[in-house]
Amino acid sequence: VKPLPTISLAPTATWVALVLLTLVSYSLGDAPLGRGVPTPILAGALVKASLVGFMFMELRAAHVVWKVAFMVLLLTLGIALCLLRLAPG
Amino acid sequence: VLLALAVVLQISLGGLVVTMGVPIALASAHQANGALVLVLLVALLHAARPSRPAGSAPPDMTTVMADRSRRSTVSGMAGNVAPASDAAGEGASSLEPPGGVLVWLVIFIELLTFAAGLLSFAVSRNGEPAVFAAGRGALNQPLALANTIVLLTGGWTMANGLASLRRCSVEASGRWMMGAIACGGLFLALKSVEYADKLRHGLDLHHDTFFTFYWLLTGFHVLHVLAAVAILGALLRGVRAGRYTSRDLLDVESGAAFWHLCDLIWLLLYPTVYLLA
Repeated sequence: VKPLPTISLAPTATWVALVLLTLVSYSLGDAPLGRGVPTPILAGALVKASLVGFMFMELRAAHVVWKVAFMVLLLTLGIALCLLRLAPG
Repeated sequence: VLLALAVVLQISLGGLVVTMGVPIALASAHQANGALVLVLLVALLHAARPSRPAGSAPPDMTTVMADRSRRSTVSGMAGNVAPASDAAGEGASSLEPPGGVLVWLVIFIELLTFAAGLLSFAVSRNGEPAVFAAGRGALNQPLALANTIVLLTGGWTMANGLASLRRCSVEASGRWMMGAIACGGLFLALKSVEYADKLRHGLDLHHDTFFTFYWLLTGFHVLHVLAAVAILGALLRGVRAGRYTSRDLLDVESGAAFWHLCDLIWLLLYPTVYLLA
């Protein structure tokens, strides 16, 4: 009997993507790009949160209602944070 | 009824937080949220276990399988083909998400509460940009980056632990779950170092608006990590005792979902507080 692998491919690929995106966000955090820099950082955060939700929390296997509710919540928060950050202080 | 009351309370307090940026309202929202999560987790632990009369013998395997098969047939699945908890099977055809409805209600309420806090943080930042820029400058960025990677690694190990349990590899699952608990412990240790450093420099809850938010948001997140580590510890004992099989994973899925919620909240909190303040 062939032994079953103990490391799952999908969570590992997700973890690599999450770490890479985190490193990119970290490097952008100190970049002198002015007020435009929040957009890629927040977009990266939303992509990472979606990856955690769909891959780690297995929303990909859930009913579409849960997927839509999750994405609506994330996108609403992301857009609101972005608009607040871009608004004149 | 409890959920409805809690949601109304959360929305009211959240609205107050967002519109007025009042930290005390933020604290109250988190307190209400914490109480709700406690109650729901207790309910979850009870609801997840099949009830049987005291003193009666546990049901034999034939009865369990017949019951599972009947329930799966009702939801439109062939219960004796795929594992009952196989996330890729049952969930997509019914409204029941992986981990169960109850834990996902907790997750959405938690996300709404932290979203209110983060929006309140952003509103206050626009009012006091200099204070928030100075506060962000006082934060330890490499430590926050390390904490992010530690939490993500904890999420990865837990996902592998659940996958191992689905493959009936109990020993491997236990090792992966130990890894997740270790990551939680390391996160808490690094956070303690960060907090001690802030207190040493007098940057406490009342230092300025930035640090009020910093302590409330990160502090409540730390409480969630503590709760999640405790839940994983309890689940690990159950896994090692052979309480969970590839066909009976609801408790483990629920605990894993709560653990991943800590990742999720941190991934929203980290850029807002540490990178963009």
